[in-house]
Amino acid sequence: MNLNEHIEQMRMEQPRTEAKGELILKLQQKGIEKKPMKLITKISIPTAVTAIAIVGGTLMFRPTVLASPSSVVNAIKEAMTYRIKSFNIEGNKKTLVSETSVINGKKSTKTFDKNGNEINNPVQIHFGGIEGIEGRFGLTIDGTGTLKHLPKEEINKILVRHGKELKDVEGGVLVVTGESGQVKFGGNVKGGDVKQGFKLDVKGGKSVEVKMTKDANGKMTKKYIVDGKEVKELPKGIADKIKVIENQKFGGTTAKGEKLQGMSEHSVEFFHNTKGVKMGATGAQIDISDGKAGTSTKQSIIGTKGADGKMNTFVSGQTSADYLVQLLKDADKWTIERNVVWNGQNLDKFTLKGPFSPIELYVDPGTSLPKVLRFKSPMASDGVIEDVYEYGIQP
Amino acid sequence: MILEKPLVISKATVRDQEALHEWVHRHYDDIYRFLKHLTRQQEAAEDLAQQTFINAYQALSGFREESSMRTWLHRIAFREYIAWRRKRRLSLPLELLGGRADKKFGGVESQIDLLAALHQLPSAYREAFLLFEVQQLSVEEVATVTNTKVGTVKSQLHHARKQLQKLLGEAYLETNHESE
Repeated sequence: MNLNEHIEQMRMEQPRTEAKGELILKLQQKGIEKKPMKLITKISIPTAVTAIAIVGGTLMFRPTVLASPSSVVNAIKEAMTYRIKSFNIEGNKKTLVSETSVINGKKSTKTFDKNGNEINNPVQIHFGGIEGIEGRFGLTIDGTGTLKHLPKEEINKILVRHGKELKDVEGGVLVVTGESGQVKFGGNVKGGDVKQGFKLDVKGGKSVEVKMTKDANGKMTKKYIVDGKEVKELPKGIADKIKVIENQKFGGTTAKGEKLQGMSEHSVEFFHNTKGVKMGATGAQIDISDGKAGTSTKQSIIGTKGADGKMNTFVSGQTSADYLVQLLKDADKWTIERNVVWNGQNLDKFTLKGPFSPIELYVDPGTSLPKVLRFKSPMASDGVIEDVYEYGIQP
Repeated sequence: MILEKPLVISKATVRDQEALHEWVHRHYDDIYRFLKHLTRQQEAAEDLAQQTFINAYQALSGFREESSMRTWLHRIAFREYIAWRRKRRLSLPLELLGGRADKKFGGVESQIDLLAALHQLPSAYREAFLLFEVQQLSVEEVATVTNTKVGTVKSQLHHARKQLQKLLGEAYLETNHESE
């Protein structure tokens, strides 16, 4: 080894893994208040070796502060390029179900059949579930847009929204109630009285109820009740957020008090298309296609009310990482166990009781990046889905 | 290769916390490495590196971007080291000297030998050498860090090389860097 190589070796010397984390904590504890300022940093890196060492060092020795749900969310967002291999595990059999590559934030998914062949028209798994219903988790949607694997009782509580993008998960709450446990409008009213309607709770705490009643001539009329008071017209600020769709067909009854949370728009127009429900059998189906033969919705948001009163929202076309990010936003719900050994690695184990309960997430404590996500399979009640995250992949 | 990235440092928000992480992760290894080679003591290097960042953090408002952040941090680290050296009256522990390279094998045998040889040089030569060769600062940046003139740095580097050549043998001639 010559002197150049010795110098190169000296350049590669690394501090203890924990040193940076300790320093960050110390800086945080110092409580030194600084005004935000912009610094332009310039790093001269004459050799590729040093550049690789610094980049590698940054990746390897990211935060050594304790991983938390928020740090995991940030790490996923920052990762930008990674791959998720999703395995279905039943007994001793482990099958690759899908492979999602996210390259610079752009996602592509390959889905495989039992023999490992890629499927052109894949089954999409909705990463969601029904709170408190053990063994009856989740939905899958095949290429024709058919929901499966749900008992009829649950299907009857489902709201479906088509073609809407979930842009902002924070925001309003939509509550839909049927006074008699049923929501029927217009042509779908099957005789009887007209004591039906629905209620919306929109952002800002306003409660809006829309009642459909027959007048003396038997004509359907619409009444608005805002915060308990009947009004002729919807007040400004609410009217533009609510679009009342009449004459919608509902395939079944709709439970009271269902909430759809986190919608970026407050509208009831999604509340349709639960036609085609086959009642009476576990695993009944709902056709959520847009009604045209051979077409299927690109994205649907499906929600049901959870035992805690919150809505479980299902968004088709999500990666499990997308869903994971949503779940992690409920930071308080996660329990964290430090220094758990997983496949020979010391990781932090995050556990969440809820849909697909329990969801287990193994996180690299150094980088806060997810390594493995495990949850109950929506495909089989005794199965487990294991998502293995890989980083540093090449496009 | 020059990387330029705006960095906002403040403790007020989560975003700023992220900037703090980035700042530390971007520069810590470099500063620690410099101090480790100067002190040859891990604990001392860690303490000095920590103090460097604390001082820098407190003095961020005074950072006028006249030099790069990297050079500025090296300068603070160097001051910390000088203060530490004064206190400790740094002397070279014998156990770290190690064996000299056998010239017939045409090179030094270990990194310790190079460090040991470096620590036999006058401190100014050693510091210039480490900053230039290992930390890869330019001669001008070395001058900024050590608060000397560019010509002086060049002279220090020249003398450092000559003395290392004597201590370590002809293998030293294999270095590629030219400052003069």
